Amino acid sequence: MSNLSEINLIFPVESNLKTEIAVIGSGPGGAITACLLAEAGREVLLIEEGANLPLESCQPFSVEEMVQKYRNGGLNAAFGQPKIQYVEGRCVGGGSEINSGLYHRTPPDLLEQWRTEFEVDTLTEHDLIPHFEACEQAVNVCYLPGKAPTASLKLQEGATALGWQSLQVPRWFCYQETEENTVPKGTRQSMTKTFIPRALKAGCKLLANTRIKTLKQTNQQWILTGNYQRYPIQIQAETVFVCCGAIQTPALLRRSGIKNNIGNSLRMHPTVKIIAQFNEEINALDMGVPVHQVKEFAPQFSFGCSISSPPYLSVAMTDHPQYTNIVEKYWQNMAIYYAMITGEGSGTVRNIPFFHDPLVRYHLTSQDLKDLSEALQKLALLLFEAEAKILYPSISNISPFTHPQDLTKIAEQLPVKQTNLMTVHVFSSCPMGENLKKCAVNSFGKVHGFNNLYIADASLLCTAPGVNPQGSIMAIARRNVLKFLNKI
Amino acid sequence: MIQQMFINTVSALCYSLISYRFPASSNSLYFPHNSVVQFVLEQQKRMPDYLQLPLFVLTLIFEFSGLLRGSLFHCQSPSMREHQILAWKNSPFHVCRDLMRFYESLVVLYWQSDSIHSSNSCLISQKST
Repeated sequence: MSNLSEINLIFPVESNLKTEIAVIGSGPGGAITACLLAEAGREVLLIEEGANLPLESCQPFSVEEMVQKYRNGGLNAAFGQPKIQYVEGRCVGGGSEINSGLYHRTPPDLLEQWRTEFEVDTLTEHDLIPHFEACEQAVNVCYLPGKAPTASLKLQEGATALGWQSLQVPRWFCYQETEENTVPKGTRQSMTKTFIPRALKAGCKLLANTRIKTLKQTNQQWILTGNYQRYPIQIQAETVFVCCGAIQTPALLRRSGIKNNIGNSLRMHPTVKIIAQFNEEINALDMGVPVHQVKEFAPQFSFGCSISSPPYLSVAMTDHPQYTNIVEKYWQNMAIYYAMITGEGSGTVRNIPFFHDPLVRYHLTSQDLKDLSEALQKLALLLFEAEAKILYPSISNISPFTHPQDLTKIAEQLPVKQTNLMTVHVFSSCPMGENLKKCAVNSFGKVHGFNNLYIADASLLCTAPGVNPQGSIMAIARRNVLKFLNKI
Repeated sequence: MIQQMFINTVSALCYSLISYRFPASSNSLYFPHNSVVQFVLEQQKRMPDYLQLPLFVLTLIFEFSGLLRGSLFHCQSPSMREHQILAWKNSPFHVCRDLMRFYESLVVLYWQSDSIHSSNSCLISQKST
């Protein structure tokens, strides 16, 4: 970061600040919004609740990262039957600092569904292509230049044996030059590596460690009230973009009395996991993020491979604690695979009086539980085809599978009391569109019924995209901010 | 006093979970047990605020439920502690199972991470000598 941009990191000495545009939240939606506004010559203050830390402040997917960059130390759950653990970023750059960096464009048939069901204007694939391309260039979306991790190739091997479609997914990454037969190393092109330095260079001010509690509109001005570290702060802005993510955006708006279709339609990708043990070595401490996914059954469900370091393997083995020593001895032969459903369930985000953190509830339908069961069975079948020796599903009190015949033990609907689900994808809590019965904001992110108040984050996605959502979030944020600037 | 009782319970629970999940660790010179306890206590303070009091209370219920076996959990012998942990892990009440899962996940995560750090540090110091 240049000295020019460092002077734009502000540490307020006064409790009252004034700006033309306040962008609350510095994840992919907020960072792109702030960057393009600043580059268009607007006066922008980018506000972030978490700390301003470099990407290199900790190892990716480590305990230190959980402590430094995850909201609530990574300990969040959506309550329901069963509950679903989820994680959110809480640092400058938001979720882009902690996610896997796997990139997908929004599926075109989904955009068509959003257009018809939610009445979103000008959101076809054709409309979005310039925004996808610009974002892909800015964050260097590219394929792995060398050999994929063996655990990742196992997924492809099993899919090929079954005649299922699998693909290598590109990432926003800058890879170092490497030999053809080694797994390349590189750097994730998170927001602190891309749009935030650009925003600061264009004159945007960044205020980290600042939590906005409420918004209030008076005389054509928005008054943002909150805390910078422990000190009360008030910020006056003509226009506000709320970009705090699918949980915190509805929480902030509802605390501010803005509730119409806000926080009522949260969606996520419920995910069930399996540890697979092979005869040969497939894992290494520096394996990084596996890049293959199986999309044969998309959008109903899809499969992938997770971070599989020994700590993650041991935690995933909590459903089978008697096999902990197997992880210690054979972790190099093991990896964690996941089956992720698009689902039809939904959830809510609500504030609890006198508490800081919002309560998230999520209801899975019986069809969701059937989809999870089918997805788990098919993933297990694929892993056996890839010559896995033992499979340990994330279901309590069920024996590991050692043969495809064991898969008949999986109930038609996953048992709610024994199943342990998680997700890293949350969205759709404030859907966009002109359908006033369903939508919180218009087709370009302006909150219905309010002037100069916009949302630009995962909350806007009308339904679950069935793929990693950051590509959709970035493209839609770019489209919406250019519309705000009258550039499209 | 209640706070100290909570800390004693968490500490005893962490030590017991370490020996339950990593029984070979008792023979080792490697001893990050207190760091594990510290990490778990700090994570408890980071979790959503509306969950902190329920977790605190449930942990104390876990401590006092040891009286059914003769003494508070943190005063029990290692084998009695393991029995109580297993009873709660297999309880028909999901809050009891969730409590054990919460502590077990954190203990395992920190233990394994620290173990890797420790072996990496050993490798680096061996290489440098």
